[in-house]
Amino acid sequence: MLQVDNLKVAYNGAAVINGVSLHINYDESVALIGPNGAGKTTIGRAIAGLVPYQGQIQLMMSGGTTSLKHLAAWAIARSGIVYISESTSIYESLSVADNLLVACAVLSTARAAKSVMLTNLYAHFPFLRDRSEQRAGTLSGGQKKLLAIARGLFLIQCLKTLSLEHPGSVGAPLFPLLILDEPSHGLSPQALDTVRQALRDLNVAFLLIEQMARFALNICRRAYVLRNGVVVMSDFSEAVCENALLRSYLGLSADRASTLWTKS
Amino acid sequence: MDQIVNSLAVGCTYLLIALGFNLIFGVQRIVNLAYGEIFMVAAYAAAWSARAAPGQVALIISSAIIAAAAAGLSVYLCAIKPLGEVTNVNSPRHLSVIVSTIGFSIVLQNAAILKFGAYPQRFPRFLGDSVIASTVWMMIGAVCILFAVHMALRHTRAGLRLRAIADNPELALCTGIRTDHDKLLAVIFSSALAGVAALLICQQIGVVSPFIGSLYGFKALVVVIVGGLGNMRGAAFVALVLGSAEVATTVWLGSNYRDGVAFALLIGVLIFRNRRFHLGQLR
Repeated sequence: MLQVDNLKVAYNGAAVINGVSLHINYDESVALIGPNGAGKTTIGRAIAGLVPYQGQIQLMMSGGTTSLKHLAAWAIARSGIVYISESTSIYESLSVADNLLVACAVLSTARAAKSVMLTNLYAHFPFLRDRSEQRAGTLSGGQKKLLAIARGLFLIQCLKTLSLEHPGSVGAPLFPLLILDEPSHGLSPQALDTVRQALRDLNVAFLLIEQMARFALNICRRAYVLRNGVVVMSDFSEAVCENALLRSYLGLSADRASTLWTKS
Repeated sequence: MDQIVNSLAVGCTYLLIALGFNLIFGVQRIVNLAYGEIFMVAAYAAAWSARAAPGQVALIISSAIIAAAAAGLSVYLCAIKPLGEVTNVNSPRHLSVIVSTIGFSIVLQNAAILKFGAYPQRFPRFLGDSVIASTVWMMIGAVCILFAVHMALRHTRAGLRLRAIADNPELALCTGIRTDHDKLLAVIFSSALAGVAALLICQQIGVVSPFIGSLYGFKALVVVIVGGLGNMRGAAFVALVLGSAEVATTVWLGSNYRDGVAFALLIGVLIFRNRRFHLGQLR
C-alpha cells in the first residue's frame, strides 16, 4: 500500500499541510475531499514528487518498503503513480495520439502490446480514435480532461505489461495508482460515467481529489476529509455521508444551515 | 538568376544555424547566446584538422562535430546548469542564463583570438573547389539537415520525448521522462548541428575568424525570434526571407547596409505584429 505519514508541506514558510497521514491499499479507490484551500492538491503533488515535503511517503509492498521521498518525479511516475493535475495535464501542441504514445517513448513497450492497449483504451474513449491526428490543444475542455485521464491510464497499462514481460525492468516496485485532481471540474455526468467505467474495467486504483463530495463519495470506497491542512475525518464513504456535520459542511444536505447549528 | 541563388545560399546559412539554436530553445526554454561560439569552435577545429590531415574529409567532419558537442556541453555545464532549472522565459533565472552565456561566449571568442589571432584564416573548400560547387553542397546539406531534424523530432522516440518536454516540462516528468537526461541529449544534438553548420558554411565562405560566431549567432537569434521560438518551419521560412532581403539590400543599397537588415526586420516584426514569443511548439 501507499502510506503517507505525518506529511508537512510549506510554501515559502507558510504551512499548507500540517501533518497528514493516510494510506491507499492496492486496487482501492479513495477520495480526498474538502473545501478550497484545504490542501488537497498539494497532497497529490507531494505524492507525485513535485513539491518538497517533510514526513514520509512510502510504498509498502510484499517485497519491502520503498521511500518515495528521494525518488525523482519521473521515477515515481514509472512506479505507476500517475498524477493528473487539474489544469495542464495534456501536451497541447502534440496530436492526440502522440499524447498517448509519449508513454511508449519512455518505455520500450512491445509494438504488439501497444496496439492492443490502444484498442482497449479507444473502446472506452471512442472520440480519441476519431481525433487521433488532431492537435490536443484544439479539443474541447471536457475532451482535454478525458484525454488527460486516458493518457494516465495508458501509461499505467504500459507499465503493467512491461513489468509482466520483464520483471524489475522499471526500477521501483509497481503500484498502479491514478491521482485524479478535480476530474468533475468541466466534465459532464455522462463523461464522468465513462471515466468511472474505464477505471473499473482497467482495474486501476485511484485517489480522487475532489470538491464535489457527492460524486467522490459515490464512487470511492473510503474517504478522507481535509480542512486547513489536516485530516478532520477518515472513514468509509457511507459513514462520511452520514456524518451530519460533515454533510452540511460539504454541502450534501438540503437544510445545511439548520443541521450545522444543531450539531455544533 | 544569380541573385536568386545568392539569396537561397545566404538563407541556407542562417537556416543551418537557426535549427540547432531553435532546438535547444524549444527543449530548454533557454536563449543560449553562446551558440554562435560553439559554431566558431567547430569551424576552427575543422580548419585545424584540415591543415593537419589534408584531404581526410571524414576526419574533418568528425572533428568539427566532436568539438561542437564538447563546446556545447561545456557551455551547458559551466554557464547554464549551475544556475538552476529555467521553466519559462519570465523567470528571473532566465535573465541570468542570458548574461552567463554572453559571458561564456566572450571567453570563447577571446580564447580563439589568443590561440589563432584576430585575423581571418583560410578555410579549406574540402567538398568542392569552386564557389558554385561549395554553394551547392551547402544548400544540399541545409535541406538534408532540415529534413533530418524534422524526421527525428516527428518519428523517433527521443524526438517525441523532446517535443513532450518542450510542450510541458512538469507533465513530462509526471509521464516518467528523465528530463535531465533528455535535456543533455538535446544539448549534444543541437551542438552537433552547430558543428555541421560550421562545416557547410565555412567551406562555402572559405574563411574562418574568431568573430563569425557572434555574427551568425545574432542573425540566427533574429531568425528564431521572428520565426517563432521553437518553431522549425517558421525559422526555415524566415531564414530564406532574411537571406533574400540581405541580398536585395546589397544589390540596391550596397553591402554596408546588409547587416542592418536582420535587425530592422526584427524590430519591425516585434513592433507591427506585437507578437509574443511563441513558446513550446517544437515542430
